Amino acid sequence: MNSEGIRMSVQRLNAGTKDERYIFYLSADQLKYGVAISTNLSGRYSDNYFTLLPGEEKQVTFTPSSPAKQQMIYNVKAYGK
Amino acid sequence: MKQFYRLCHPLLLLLLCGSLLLSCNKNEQTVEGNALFITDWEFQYQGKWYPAFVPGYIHTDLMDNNLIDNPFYGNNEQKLQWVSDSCWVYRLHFDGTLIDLKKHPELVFEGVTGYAEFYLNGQPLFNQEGQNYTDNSFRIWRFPLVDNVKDKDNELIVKFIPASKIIRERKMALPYALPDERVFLRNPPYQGGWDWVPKLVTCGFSKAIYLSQWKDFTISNLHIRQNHLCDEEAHLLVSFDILSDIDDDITIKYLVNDKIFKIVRNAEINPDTDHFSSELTIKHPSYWYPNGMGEQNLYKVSVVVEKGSQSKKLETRIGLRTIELNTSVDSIGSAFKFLVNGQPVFIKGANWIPANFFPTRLKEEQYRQLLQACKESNMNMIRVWGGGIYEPDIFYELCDEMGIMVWQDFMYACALYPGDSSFLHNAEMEAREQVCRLRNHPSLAIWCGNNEVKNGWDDWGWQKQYKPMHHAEIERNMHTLFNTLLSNIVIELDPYRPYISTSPLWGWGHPQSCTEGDAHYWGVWWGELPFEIWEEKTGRFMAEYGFQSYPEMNTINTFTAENDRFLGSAAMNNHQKHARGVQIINKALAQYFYIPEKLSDYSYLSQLVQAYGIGQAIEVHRRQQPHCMGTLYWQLNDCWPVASWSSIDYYGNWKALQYEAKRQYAPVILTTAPMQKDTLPIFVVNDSAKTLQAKLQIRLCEFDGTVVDSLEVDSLTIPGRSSVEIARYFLSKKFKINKLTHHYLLLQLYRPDGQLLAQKSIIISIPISWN
Repeated sequence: MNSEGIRMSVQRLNAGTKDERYIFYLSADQLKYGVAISTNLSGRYSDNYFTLLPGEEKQVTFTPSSPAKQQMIYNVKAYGK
Repeated sequence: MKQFYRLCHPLLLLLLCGSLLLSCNKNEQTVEGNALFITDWEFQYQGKWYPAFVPGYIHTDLMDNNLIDNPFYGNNEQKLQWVSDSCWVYRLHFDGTLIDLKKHPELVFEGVTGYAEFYLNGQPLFNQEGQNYTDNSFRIWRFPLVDNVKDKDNELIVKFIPASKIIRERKMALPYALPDERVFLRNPPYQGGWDWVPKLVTCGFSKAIYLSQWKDFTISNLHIRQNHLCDEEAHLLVSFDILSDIDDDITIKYLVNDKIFKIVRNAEINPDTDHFSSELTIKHPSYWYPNGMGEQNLYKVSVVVEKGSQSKKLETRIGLRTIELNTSVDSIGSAFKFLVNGQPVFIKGANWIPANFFPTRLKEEQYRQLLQACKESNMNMIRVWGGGIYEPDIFYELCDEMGIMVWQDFMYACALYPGDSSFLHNAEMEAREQVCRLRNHPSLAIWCGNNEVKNGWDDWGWQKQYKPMHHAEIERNMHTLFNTLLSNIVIELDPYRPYISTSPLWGWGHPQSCTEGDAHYWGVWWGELPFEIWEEKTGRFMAEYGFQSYPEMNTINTFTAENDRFLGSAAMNNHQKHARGVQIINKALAQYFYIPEKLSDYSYLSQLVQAYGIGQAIEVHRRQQPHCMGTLYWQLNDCWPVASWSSIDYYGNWKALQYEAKRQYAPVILTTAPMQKDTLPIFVVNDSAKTLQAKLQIRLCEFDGTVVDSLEVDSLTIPGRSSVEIARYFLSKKFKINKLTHHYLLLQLYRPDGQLLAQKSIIISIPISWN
């Protein structure tokens, strides 16, 4: 799989509270198919396994099942050899 | 819940609220305070007694006492088959001080899985059928306590006989063999193994156990029948059952949302009284709608019966709506179209299986998360498949609240069933109880007799083995159970709810499967056909179709050791229950993506290919309305961590398909039909009732975003509840399609004011060609 060319950053909101959220910002210069974010925390993504269009500014909200006790480690992959 | 029960002492716990997930159903519940009998049970293993947890099963009890390994791990399933073949004894010691023989005491077992014999203080204990055994997981078993109860130290023994032994005995009574022997015992069918589930034939107390007693009279079975509904008025017939051992007068209060609607004074009761009913009219009713159509308005309806200072109450929650199923003959064949509140609704949803192999492990939160996922994914129906269980009340309550309509199969699946009088009586009692339990739920949309019984009989080679005499008997038995008995029970007890005898009407090999009734299309997967076939094989209502994927690595890691994490390890093999599973996934991967080497890549790509294929099916089915009026893919969820057709794994993780379903089930979508020579037909599917005014922007782009062609189509009018072709894009006039290997088509639908209504990016080539 190939995450090359995907720019990604994350913002943590309401840290340590029950409303803790993470916002992922993703973009790429080339179309990316099957873009999948994964983290070491359990929770829900507002979207995942999506197509990222060139120039698109994609935001994905990740809501952890419970306030995270450990540092989030995240990863992204997309289709490609 | 287990911990909660264990903290509760003394022995008997008063059940006064309905918040216990698996306790007695709300319709049946009275305020009399049934005493729960769920603590202090024990079971015997190798001569020693261990604590048992109610509700639970022998497998969960053995696990919770650390006597067996987790059957979901590795290939432990294979090593634990002895559990199913053993006899298991449970016991409870209890004081009789609470039991008053004048109050009609009964020990009520709301669910007993397996075949169990009951003994109280060394004597057989008899139930409502006059038997000292139970043999139906789907019935409530009541054991009247008539004598033989001591003040102290009563011993109740429940002895579970292996299902295999009962089945062996019962099948001897038939002069011919049935294709699947599990049918001789009314256990949840899936527990005997399926192609997504381990085989762990279990036994135990699957629901609450309590002592029921009443003084003077008792009430039950509150039923609200909606006889008429229009914008001005709803006419309800409210009825309930009463049992009395006195001659007296009572006052009956009928309440809606806690406000008294009607009071009946001086109603007479005596030991012959069995039933009361009254008509109520609700002015200007607020309708209940499925998700996506409107609000889910609910009304609380209660009945309070008073005699002197005694007061007994029943309560339920209803929604005012009509649901009809139109199966009329039309120019194509026969329709399969739901109408809610008079409006046709395109059905969007999935099939539901038990959310845990051991359903007693489930908490309300897990039901809520799964059904919330349905709601968020724009679904409006879930099909409770006939190989599982009738779900607990909380499932249907959540469906009522979220607007998820329920297609409810009776629990018969993929098999032929006996037709002797004892079997039919058991089936009848089961159906009566389940219909009465579920009929007040507004979400309940349809009863269906079975899953794939007719399909199996028609197409799976069963018929060849029978002599003409037996062949005729089997056909008669099928007809009696599904076309007469169950149908008549629904007509009698739940007359306004649609009933169909089987699903599908025709197996997928029959041409009628595309023109008549509901279909299960398995040419993709079972038939190994490519996804493009959806186009030709769209029936009138697609009740099943699907494709497997592997769960994410976090899930795979829970059932494997590190050195087992490759396809072909014993642990991985035991979590792929379809004989050709890997082969079929590989075939699709080789066609559309590629076959990777690493398991983590395999899990990811199997999910992409599943979403790719099933997403296309949803588009095709929606686009082909009104020919097709519903689509339910197989399957929403899992009951253990496994490779399966699910879109959400056992731990609640969304697979790629769930996100894709959410996109493809959106109220308004753009989609394309197959290329016609040099043109691409572009469609809008609009589920809303409103007509849309819109303009379409088409852009053909390279993967880096360079626009190579664009087109705008203005002044589009898209009618409500329709699928319409809005444009044709002449693609290959300018470009050779086989040269468009790194190009995508971006379709955007805007309102006249510029607001985006829908967007779709279509990659012209298949992913494998990009590598």
